[in-house]
Amino acid sequence: MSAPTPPAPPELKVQIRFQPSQWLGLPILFGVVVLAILGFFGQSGRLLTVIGDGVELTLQHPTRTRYGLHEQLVIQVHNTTQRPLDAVEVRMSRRYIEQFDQYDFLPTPHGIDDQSFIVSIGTIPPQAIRQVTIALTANNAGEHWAEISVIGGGVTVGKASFSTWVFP
Amino acid sequence: MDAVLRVVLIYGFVMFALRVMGKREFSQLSPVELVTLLLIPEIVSQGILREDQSLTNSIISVSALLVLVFITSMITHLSPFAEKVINSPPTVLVHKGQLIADHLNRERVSASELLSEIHKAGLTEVGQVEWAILQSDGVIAIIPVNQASATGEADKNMPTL
Repeated sequence: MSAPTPPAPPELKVQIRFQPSQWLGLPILFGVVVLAILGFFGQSGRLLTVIGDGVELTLQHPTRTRYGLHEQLVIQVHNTTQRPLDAVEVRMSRRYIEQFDQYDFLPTPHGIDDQSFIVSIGTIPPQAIRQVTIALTANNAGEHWAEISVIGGGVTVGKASFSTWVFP
Repeated sequence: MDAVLRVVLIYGFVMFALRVMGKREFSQLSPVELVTLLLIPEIVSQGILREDQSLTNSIISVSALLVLVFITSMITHLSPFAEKVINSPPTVLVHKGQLIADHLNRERVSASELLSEIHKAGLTEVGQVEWAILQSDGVIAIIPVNQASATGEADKNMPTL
């Protein structure tokens, strides 16, 4: 004897119907998911090379990140001349760096003025490369602009700017 | 991308786990069941969000979850088979005053628990019950003998939807 089954439900013509609020809300929800899958909200970075006066400045910087995520900014200064470049300093805009929750420079900055964090990298021999690394933890949301300048022998020999977008 | 994948995996796993646990976990919760359902979000939140505590990640994860819930409801609405697989079908516990012991044991409903539900329905004994059905949401629907026959008469006069 088969087990009893409860009375069957009445017949219903199955159709898909949306409420007015769903016509607006569902594309937004699906849109967020599709954009996330496509990487729109993900971390991304860029390699930027700028030719200066006897130096080649290479930046590996984040272009997009999210609150609380860790990023690394790498600045390489290549002396492309056949003579040493003395008293080289890398100046990184303070307004940009202070948008981040934590920032650790390697090497450590030897000074901070109103505009910049100043990292001294000494003398760069001919054809040599020196590197400054900054570990960052994203904090404030929005687009943050940075300016980096390289000073050698008391004059600006290279300059670059970029921006990083931080999602909340 | 990662957050969406993690939500899909966790959603699938939790849906599967809750489906396996049975219907009772959705209704009046015993202490063990309550603790289980309270712990699940605590455990899976790490798996979904990881170290990314950003608002953006939370919005992505919630959107992915709601999209999955919506897609699941669409599928169950359109396909009776999917509805049967995703939402466990109702289980008859009593029919015409007779306990169906196999179903009670399978759903882990004790006789005293069933009697308590029968009392809540204003009845005193199993013999007064035409149908006692454990619904998909964990509630036990009690249909008394007289009401069942009255409903049956009414059903005959109702137009098809």
